[in-house]
Amino acid sequence: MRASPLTMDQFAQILVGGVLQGIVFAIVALGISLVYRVTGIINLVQGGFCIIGALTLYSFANDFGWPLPLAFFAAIAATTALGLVLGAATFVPALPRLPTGSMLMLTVGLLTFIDGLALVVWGTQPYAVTAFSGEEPIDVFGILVPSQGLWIAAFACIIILGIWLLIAHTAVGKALTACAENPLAARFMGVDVARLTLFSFGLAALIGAIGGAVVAPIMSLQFDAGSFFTNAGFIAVALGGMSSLPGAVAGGLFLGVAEQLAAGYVSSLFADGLALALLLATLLFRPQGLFVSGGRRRHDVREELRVTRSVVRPRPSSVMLIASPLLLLLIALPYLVSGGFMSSLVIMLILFIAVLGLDVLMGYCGQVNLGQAAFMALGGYTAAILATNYGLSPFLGTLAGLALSLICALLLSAVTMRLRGAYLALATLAFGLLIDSLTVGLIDVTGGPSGLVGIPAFALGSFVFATPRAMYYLTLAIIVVLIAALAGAMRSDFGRALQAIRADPTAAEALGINVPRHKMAAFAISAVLASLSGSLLAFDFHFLSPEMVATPRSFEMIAMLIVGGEGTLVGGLAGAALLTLLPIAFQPIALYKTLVEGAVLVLAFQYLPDGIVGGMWRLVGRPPRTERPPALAPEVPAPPDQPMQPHRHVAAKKTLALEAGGLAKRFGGLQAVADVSFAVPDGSITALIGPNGAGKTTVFNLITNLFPADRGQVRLYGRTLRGLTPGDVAALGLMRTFQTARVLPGMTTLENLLAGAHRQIRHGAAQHMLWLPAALREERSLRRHGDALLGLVGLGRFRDVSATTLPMGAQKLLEVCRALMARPRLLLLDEPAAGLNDAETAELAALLCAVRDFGLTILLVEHNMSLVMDVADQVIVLDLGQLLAQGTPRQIQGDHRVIEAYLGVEAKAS
Amino acid sequence: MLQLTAIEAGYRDLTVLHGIDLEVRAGEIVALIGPNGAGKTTLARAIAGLLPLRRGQISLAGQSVEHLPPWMRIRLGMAHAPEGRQVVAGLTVADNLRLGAHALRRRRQESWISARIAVVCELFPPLLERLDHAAGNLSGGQQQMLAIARALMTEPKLLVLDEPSLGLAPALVADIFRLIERLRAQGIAILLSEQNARMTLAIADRAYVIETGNIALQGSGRELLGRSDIVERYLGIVADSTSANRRNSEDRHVRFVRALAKIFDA
Repeated sequence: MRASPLTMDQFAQILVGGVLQGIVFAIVALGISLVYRVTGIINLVQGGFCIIGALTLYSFANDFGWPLPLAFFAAIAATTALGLVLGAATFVPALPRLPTGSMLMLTVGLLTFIDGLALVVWGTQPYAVTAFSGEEPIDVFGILVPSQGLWIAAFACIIILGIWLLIAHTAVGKALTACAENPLAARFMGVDVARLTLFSFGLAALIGAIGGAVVAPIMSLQFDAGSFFTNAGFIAVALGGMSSLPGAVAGGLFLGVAEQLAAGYVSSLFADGLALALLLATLLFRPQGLFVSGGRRRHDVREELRVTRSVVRPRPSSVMLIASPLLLLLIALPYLVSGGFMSSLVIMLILFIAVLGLDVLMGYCGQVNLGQAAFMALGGYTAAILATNYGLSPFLGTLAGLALSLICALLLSAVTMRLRGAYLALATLAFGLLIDSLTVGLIDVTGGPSGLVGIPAFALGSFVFATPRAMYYLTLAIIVVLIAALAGAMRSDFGRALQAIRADPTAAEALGINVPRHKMAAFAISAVLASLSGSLLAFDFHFLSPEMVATPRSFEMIAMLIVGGEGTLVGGLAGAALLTLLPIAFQPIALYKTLVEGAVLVLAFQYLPDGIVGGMWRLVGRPPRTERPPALAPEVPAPPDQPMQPHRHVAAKKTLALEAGGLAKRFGGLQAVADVSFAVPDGSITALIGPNGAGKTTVFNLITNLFPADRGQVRLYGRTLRGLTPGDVAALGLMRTFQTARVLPGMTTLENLLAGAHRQIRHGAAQHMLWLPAALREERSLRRHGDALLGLVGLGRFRDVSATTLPMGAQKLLEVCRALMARPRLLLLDEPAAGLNDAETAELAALLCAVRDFGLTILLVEHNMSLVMDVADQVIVLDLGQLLAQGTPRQIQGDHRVIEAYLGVEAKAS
Repeated sequence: MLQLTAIEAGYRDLTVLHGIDLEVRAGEIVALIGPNGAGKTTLARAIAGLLPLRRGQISLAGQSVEHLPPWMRIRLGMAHAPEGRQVVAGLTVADNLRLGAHALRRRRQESWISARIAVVCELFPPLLERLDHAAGNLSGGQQQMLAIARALMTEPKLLVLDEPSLGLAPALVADIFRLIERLRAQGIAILLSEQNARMTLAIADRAYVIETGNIALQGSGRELLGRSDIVERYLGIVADSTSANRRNSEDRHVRFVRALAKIFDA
């Protein structure tokens, strides 16, 4: 820490150093931004290319003795070649198949692989490369600039200029933009999307290699510097604006200068913390970047890439069949293996606890968490410090750790809950890195890099778990209890809600699921389990150092989860066993551990997407349905013996279900809706029709408060809806469906249906974790009613099949039924017949009439005139945002204005 | 112009097309009608080259193309307006049109492309007014025009239109169909894949009916329009219902409502 202020010269010196470092960051950021622009994925491998570029330069120049220019170009070429090979083998083929979160983790796997490769080839010692133009610094206006600095600046300019020319001024650049936004359209136009993606990946590798090679002389090269470059790069890119190339450059410079200044004036620990705080602040308050003006948010097409993962739900009997002998084996294991192996088994179980938490958050809820180890650190260090320095009992210390982790998790998720997808993942990574630097930097508290020693063994009361065997059984017992509790919670409505959030957050919200609250709950569970795991680790080892609970550990646990099987709860155990025991069993390959981890993570996504356990369940589970189901025919329903809670709303034809008065909405220069007023009588079917662009869907969105109206009122059974969120509106009894059937992928038909009943559920997750009889009864009753409804509409035979494999007609019916499960009073259907053939439309009409006569009210937007004429009691016609006509179907058919504006000449015979 | 022989294609373990034979000649409109899920879009993708064939041949202007990538088929005179329009929302209308000519970029100068844009926009005046607008800001109907205009950029000899009427109001659909007839008059072979059977059969010279991956029927547009079973199935014209039919559906309706009541009520 400096006590005296710096002189002007020193300030200038630091500034120059900052600019140079900033240029390097900018180069890395540019590569990340380029790949993001084209693919929508934040490519965390970028830093790896930098370090490989630097290390190969060293080898060519020093080991091979080649002259510097040759060594330079060879290093660039070799690294670019590596990038192209990796890209062609992994990134490019996976891109059309995996969702964004998985792609992000794939790049994490690639980064780990490259770190591991560097470790194997170059070992752990640091290397130094000689500067290109000698060591003499150059005097520039009185400031000493390292000669290498000019090389760095020169290459950076070349790279920036080249990229700018490419993107803005070539056909290839425009094609790249098309690939980014709409790869399907691009392919139809003959654009070779795969080749362009590979091209951009290779280009990013080239940029990274140049950056790494040119900065090599002024830094100490170590195998894990790849992560350092990546971290700086992604922070720079986030600061500068993800898809803005100039922003990436600006972000890099800004970061470099800010860090050097912070390090110079305060400390390097402060500099790290500052960088991460800046990142978090940017992600939260200005996610488009500090240097990008307002601007259009990138149309994230990848959000719409909903992977139709075919669902595997094993029979409970099969699970018991496999789990019971496995449990017996685990119990007997300590008596079958040697003492040395014993301690590895304990570590495996302890890590599994953290992976279990990760499965709830990532596997079920779909939120990528790159900082799980940070919570292990929080739990471990808190418990250890309290037990060692303050004599607190290990049990209480663990509880304190749990409390701290829970608080941090709730804070972190509260501030990030508005972030989507990649931004949330980055925030967790930032948090993880922050904790990393704190554990290393706060030497007085944590013991710094050398760690904390003398941590006592775990004890409950007077019983001390001193031996590995005792810890093994303790951990095993904890795991059994946790799995029982989590299994109960995941098969309940809570589990369905989490999966719905993973599948389609917008649809989940429309079903009345409180998305932020559920995400926080999942995050809390994940953090608490990680904290427990960290504490147990400390007590088991009697020692805790930063690298035991650092970010590479987070990546390792992700690998364990993916390889074992996401969303299976027990999958993590298989993954933990594989990645913990294998290196122990084959000691010589310990050096290759990181390499293998990276490879395993990458390969798992491509060839084993269900993981080991998921794959096993697929073998013993129900056979997947491959043939197209024939047309629908309603079966005779078997009425359940116990009906659901009475909630019958007596339809009184005189009351108004919905009243809209004077609705108006303007989008920029377009008056989408102008002074629209209408009423929907209770217990009727009202159809809202009109030409394309008439404002029908806008009216719908205004009613459900997806966005607020400029003017006007909406009343639902006399109650005004102004100021309510879509979730609130759903709670008042108004359920809507969407134009494209938002059936939840990754869930069965029955699960989709039951998800609709979310708001009716009385018994929450906690009660299911305890397997309370009342909660189980409610679930059983719910399933019976769901089955009855499925049978009624002819979807019974698709009960356990992945809902997204259903034909479109069935999916639309399912969506309407799902809305029914919420016991609505008013159903808003947005083009329910779009994409249906006439037989399917007839089925839909039958259902709608029955629903109306049962007592609900329906408002639907439609283009299908025969459906409208068939079912509607009242038709409202919009044209150009205004009410054109209102009346019975017969009246509307005969209204000349309507015919002119809308139906056109073709409707003469009808 | 286009000849499909015994086409079999699908996705992963699902075979969607089970042996399709189809032909489109220059200067004729061939309609492909069928229910949702019958394989119309799969067939369009197979023709475009986005989907590999399991079996069968595709020939364009007498040349075998089933092994050629999409850009080569475009060079040989094939063009597509895909289902759901698929415009690139972030690019301008002009750039979207340029993208349509992407496959020709090596053979044609920028001046040719600009001239082509002007020619194509003559058919679609609303596009001419909006060349600099982001494609994402266009209405559904304008986006459909853009999709067709984009397909015309390469001066195609074969035009495959996948459900151009989807989501559009009848008056607009009538406009688009009139345009399709104009294109036929220019000698282009047109394959029109649609669910809107009534309007499609009215302008089609010949038509194929596809059902669960097979061609169920084929004939001239007028022939098929006249067949009562087609009419019933696809045109939504309610046949004379006998009293038995009406009683049946009422019966079912009552059972339906009762069953709903049992599920949701005391």
